[in-house]
Amino acid sequence: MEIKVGIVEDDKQIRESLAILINGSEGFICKNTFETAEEAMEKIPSLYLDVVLMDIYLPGKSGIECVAKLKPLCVTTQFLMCTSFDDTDSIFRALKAGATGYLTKTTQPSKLLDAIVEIHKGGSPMSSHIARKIITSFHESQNSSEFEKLSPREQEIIMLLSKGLRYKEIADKLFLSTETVRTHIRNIYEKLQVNSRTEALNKTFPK
Amino acid sequence: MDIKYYLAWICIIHLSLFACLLWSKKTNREANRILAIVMVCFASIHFSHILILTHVVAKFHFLNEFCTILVFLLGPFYLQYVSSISDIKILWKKYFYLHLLPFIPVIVWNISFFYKTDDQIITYYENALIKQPLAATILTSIATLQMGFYLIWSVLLLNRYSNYLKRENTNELLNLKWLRSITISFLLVTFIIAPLVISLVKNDVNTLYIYYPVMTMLILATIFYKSMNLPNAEIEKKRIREHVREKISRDIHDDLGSGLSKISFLSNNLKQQLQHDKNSADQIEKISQTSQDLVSNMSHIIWAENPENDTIDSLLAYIREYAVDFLDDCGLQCHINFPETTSKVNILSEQKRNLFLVIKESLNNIFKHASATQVWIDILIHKDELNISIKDDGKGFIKGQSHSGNGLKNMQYRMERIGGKYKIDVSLGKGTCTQLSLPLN
Repeated sequence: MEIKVGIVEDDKQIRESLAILINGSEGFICKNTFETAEEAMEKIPSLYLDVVLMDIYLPGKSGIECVAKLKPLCVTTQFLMCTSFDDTDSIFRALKAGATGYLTKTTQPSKLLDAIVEIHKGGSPMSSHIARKIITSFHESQNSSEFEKLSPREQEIIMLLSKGLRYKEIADKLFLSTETVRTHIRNIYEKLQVNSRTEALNKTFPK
Repeated sequence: MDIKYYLAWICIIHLSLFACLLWSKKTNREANRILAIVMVCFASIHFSHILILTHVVAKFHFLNEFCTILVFLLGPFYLQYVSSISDIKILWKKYFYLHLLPFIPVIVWNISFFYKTDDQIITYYENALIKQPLAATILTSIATLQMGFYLIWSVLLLNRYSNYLKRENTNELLNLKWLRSITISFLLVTFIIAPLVISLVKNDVNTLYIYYPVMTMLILATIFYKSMNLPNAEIEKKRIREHVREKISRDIHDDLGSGLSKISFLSNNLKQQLQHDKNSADQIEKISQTSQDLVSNMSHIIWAENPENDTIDSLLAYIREYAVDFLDDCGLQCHINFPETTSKVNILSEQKRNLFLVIKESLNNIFKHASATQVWIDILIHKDELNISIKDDGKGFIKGQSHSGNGLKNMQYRMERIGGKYKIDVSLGKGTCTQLSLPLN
């Protein structure tokens, strides 16, 4: 079964070379590319894509707004944010909005394909900086017991990630498989999204 | 009605306003502080008047004098508040004597009370509270002029700052309209309304005493109603700084980032098309590599400039991630020993960036020149000093004969610039051991 990939990117050349790269690799297919967030928001819900590569800075609505709008409509689609640099602030906002992965555009082609496969299989990348931001975000949330909503294992993993340990090291340290660590991290992202949604609701309708 | 009742009534109003100001901690702090001081001063002035008039203790007139001086300080306080919001510094120290000038008559006037008997003081106050004697009028006009001067100054600062914000396209971030209009209304009160009312009521002190608290109440009610919107200097400054930083990094993304990504993409495409032409493919590989290096260098700068990453903890995490990923990509085995305990000590962005670059270059040298198979990275925090050692099992080199001598000097220079030390132990066939140390704080 091929992985159905969509691309939202405003630069024509990058969009096309990404599509060429993806279509030219076995196991991937990319039939839908979008130039703007508005276009993507209109068409993606009916396409049932597996993975969407989403540029963060787009003309008009940003990629972050686009993900926030689309994620509730297409639960099975994974959004992979593309930035030019490791711009953690924007990436973190995108993760809160519903993205489950991120990569820099200059990633080598083989790694880019690896990232798509990984996110499709249920894994997610997380750097120490993102991990630290997640910890603070759970601590700062109005409900002080939010951090408790992460399971003890998840708390352990995110603490190690925030110290800069890589997946393999964490897996070795906690006697888990790398796959399990990946799944835990995906779950942390999902809890972060739920948490930021409740927070947004609390802000609009204070108790 | 007895004047004392009016005075008590004014006193109660001011004290209750003071209590409100203390209680409403959530509103703007600096503005509240200034207003609270005003309220306490006015309440004490009127309280001392009551004490003097009831002949309890004439000595209490010092309370009156002291608070009068405090009231004179309001102008400078207010100006300082405006200047801290608008980020325009005022040279208080340099022109201190100018700010002292208005106090000289007040102090002289206060000293004159030392040479009066208690009876004289009481008679003076009884007179002063019913008819305006000349001394009191002069004092009021000096206070009015002084307050007006500082208020005009504040309006000028606010104008300048809002022009600056408009130029920088950040005016939607900070709404100064309210602050400016309140300053202008203060100005109107001190220069036009207050003198007008005083001259109209002339000898009818009763009207004055009714007008006075009503006026204060009205002004303060508006401030209370609006003080939620009064900008807080620290928060506003941080918000504007963040906005500017975001704008810069967005610009970097839009221009440099997309350009570099494009170079990297196009060169990758070209590389695939040119597989038969080894020479061209190699050169294109170099272009692609250079653009990727540029992107990673930019990322390091953006990382170092982010104030969130100013702790030792985050630096160590970043180094660890980079080292493991880099050595993994190069196929080198990596042994890492980092401190278990965490440290929230802050580190300057300059130190952070240079330290990281030195480590990056050391690892790069190992990969490029050492033909090593294993790398050991040990980090220790001992007695407020950060010690890093990077060791490999490569072929080493003879010091002074290496073509990378410039690189070594450069690393040494970088470490010295941030107050640290750089040492490299190397000999042919025994691998290299780079030692870095940086005092913390």
